Amino acid sequence: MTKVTLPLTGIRVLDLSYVFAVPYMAGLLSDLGAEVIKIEAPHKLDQTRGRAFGPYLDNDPAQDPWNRSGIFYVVNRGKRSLAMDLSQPEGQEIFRALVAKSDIVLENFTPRVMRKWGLHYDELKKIKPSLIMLSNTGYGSTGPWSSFPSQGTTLEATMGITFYTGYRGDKPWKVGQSYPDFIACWAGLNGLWAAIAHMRKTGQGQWVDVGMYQLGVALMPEPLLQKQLDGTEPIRMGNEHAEHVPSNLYQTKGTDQWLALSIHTDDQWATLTTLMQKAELASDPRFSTAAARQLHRDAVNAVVAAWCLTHTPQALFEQLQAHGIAAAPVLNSRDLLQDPHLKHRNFYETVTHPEPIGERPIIGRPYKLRFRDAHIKKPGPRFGEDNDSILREIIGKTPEQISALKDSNIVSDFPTNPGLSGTMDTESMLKLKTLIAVDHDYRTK
Amino acid sequence: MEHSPSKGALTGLRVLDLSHGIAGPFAARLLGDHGADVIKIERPVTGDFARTLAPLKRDAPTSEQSLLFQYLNWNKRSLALDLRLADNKSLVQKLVEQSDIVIESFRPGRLDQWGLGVDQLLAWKPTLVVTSVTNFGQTGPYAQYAASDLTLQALSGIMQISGQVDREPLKHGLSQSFYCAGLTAAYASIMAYTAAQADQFGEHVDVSIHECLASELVLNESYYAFLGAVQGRRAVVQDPFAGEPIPTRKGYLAFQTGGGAPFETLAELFDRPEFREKRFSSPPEREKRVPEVKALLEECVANREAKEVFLAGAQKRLLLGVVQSAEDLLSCEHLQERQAFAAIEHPATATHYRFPAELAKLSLTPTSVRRRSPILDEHRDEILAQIGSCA
Repeated sequence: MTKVTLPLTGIRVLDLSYVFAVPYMAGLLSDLGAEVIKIEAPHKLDQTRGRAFGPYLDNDPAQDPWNRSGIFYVVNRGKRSLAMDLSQPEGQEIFRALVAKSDIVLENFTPRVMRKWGLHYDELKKIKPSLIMLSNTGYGSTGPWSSFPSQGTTLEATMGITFYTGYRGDKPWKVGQSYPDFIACWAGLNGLWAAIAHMRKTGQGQWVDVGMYQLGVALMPEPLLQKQLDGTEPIRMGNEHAEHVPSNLYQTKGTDQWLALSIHTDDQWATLTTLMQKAELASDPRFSTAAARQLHRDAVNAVVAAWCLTHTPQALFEQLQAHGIAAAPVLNSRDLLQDPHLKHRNFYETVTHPEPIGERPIIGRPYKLRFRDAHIKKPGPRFGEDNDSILREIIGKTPEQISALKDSNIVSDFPTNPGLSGTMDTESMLKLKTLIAVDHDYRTK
Repeated sequence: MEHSPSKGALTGLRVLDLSHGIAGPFAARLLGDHGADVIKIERPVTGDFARTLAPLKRDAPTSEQSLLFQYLNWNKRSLALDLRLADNKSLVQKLVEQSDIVIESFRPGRLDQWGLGVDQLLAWKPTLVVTSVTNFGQTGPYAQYAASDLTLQALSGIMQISGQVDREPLKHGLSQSFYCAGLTAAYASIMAYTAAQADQFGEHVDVSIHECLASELVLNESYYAFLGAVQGRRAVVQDPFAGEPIPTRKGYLAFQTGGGAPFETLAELFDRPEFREKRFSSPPEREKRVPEVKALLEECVANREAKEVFLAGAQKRLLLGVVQSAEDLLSCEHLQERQAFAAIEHPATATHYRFPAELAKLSLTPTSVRRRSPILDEHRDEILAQIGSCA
């Protein structure tokens, strides 16, 4: 059999980015064989190493909180860390030397920053013509809003998703956690892989300019087209569907347990009425057709809700799926790690981190390859963990030169301005129900 | 700037799109946007079921009413072909032999039943990439389960942390699951194509929509994996700097801390010195008096217009968002300047609408919309002549 390889074996990536979107892109590239070097500023911690995003291992910041943040290890798996100050000329010079020996640069500074440092793509491609660079910013490098700061949490509103999310009759609702970052991650990888394919064919590098804001419209064509068609907008209707009834979330037996259920055809409705032991509803003219059920939405929901309340979500899930009906419980983070399907597919990979973290499950990738062994190749790096080896091996710095760089804080083994740390107030979060449990035996579950 | 060929990065590739609905067709279209020649195979008579998805232009022929279909299928040519019929197998073989990537979204096992399983396709074309985009992937106990956008958001954990603690979990609006999976399937296809070309050995990419969503929970999962904490939904009284929409006289704003400007900049924006006081400016102090901070912020914006505050704050480098609807986005000055929309004319619906048409700007190989979405079976003669003559 032909020998297959991971597509990024031998490729070096310099990752200058912070928080979620681009760090996650770079982490996913490392799963495909790339050597990814995360370049972090000694004086400005990646927010995912800090208090804002936490959580720290066992909710204990200890002596080195920046090496204990869970989220950091998920999105930065597989990388090496160089803690170096790019705002200083010496740091910029080392960076240029690294670019000469690298293939891809990823960054998410606001557009003026790289230009100010003389590290804009136009400069870097002079060093390495085949270089691919991706810049991910809130609004892209051009246009009147390009200098606005942004992060996923508030961008979600601006990009349009929030307007179409919310309980029926209620105001717009923010969803999830930094949703735009993940859209940007997947969309950025599209641009990046297209650029890689072109580079493999022609040897030419290029610059990929991602503006997260405009990705929102790409994922909500329905209201944009409806507006142009007849001037109307879809209304917020919680978990319901404009056409399919019932398609909703129902409370079940147990505390805070829910079942999502979608009926797509009249035949499925008939099946459901039998399961609910209300077969007479299948032929009831108020419910027998999709159009009728849309008119009697509340009555349909009431019948299904009453039935669901008397069963566990797991029993309903299995029973409905056995009859080909789309149904699923709402899983929490504990459930997900124990879910038999995700386990079967090895979706969470067990990664061995240095103590005290040890073996932890880390989210893998949303796709499987049949022939090639994509996998998380090493744990995320401790702060500045690879300073010496990167400077020595890749650009030939001597131990004396490395010491001098550390003495002048161009390179640092410790954050020089780590900011606040602290424990999360789990007691009051439990009281507010923003946490629903803290399992002290979580490692053995 | 150096001379730009202005051709897509995937020019010269052929993609065979056997998929239907949103996720698979969106992925195939994104490859077309990069320059690939995409042939869409649809079931005869009715075509891809996305041809029935809203919004619909009701006065057009039945299979041509969907504007959403138009969005998901430009840069493609259509051939109606019943894949179940043995008589069509040799034509499918010719199509596969002349393609680089096949995208499909049938229930796992269905293609095998028709003698068109991945092994057969790879036997016909050893360097082929087959990308399967399904609800739960090709393997595992849920592989044959039915799903909807709603049930996928439930089972992936997305809904558990969305909504308010004292109410039911809340899904993301519209059909987000399928677009997320489309983005993933597109880049994974290009990735696998790159690998297949290097090794001269193909690949089967198994994309699970469920896992695309579960992949977004990097924070939620690490709460459990590093701490044992199970997150719930949003507090009844939320930290006003966590993005919750706050009403103004016209529209809603969202606030976040940590932009380029210090927190005290809010004092300047609203002409309210309180924001300089430590009880508000220090994060741990502020967290102790959430209702008070929230009330202050609400008061500051109550008589303003959301977009005006957003622009003023963003110019001061504060992290702000403004809740925008389709109407706002269609008239947004920034999107206009970025040329985020393409105006596309379609004879079947007699429409000339603006569609979101670009994910990212590639300096050397820009994406493009070269042809409108196809009418069902529109390119039969052209495709058959082309495939036949090359065989």
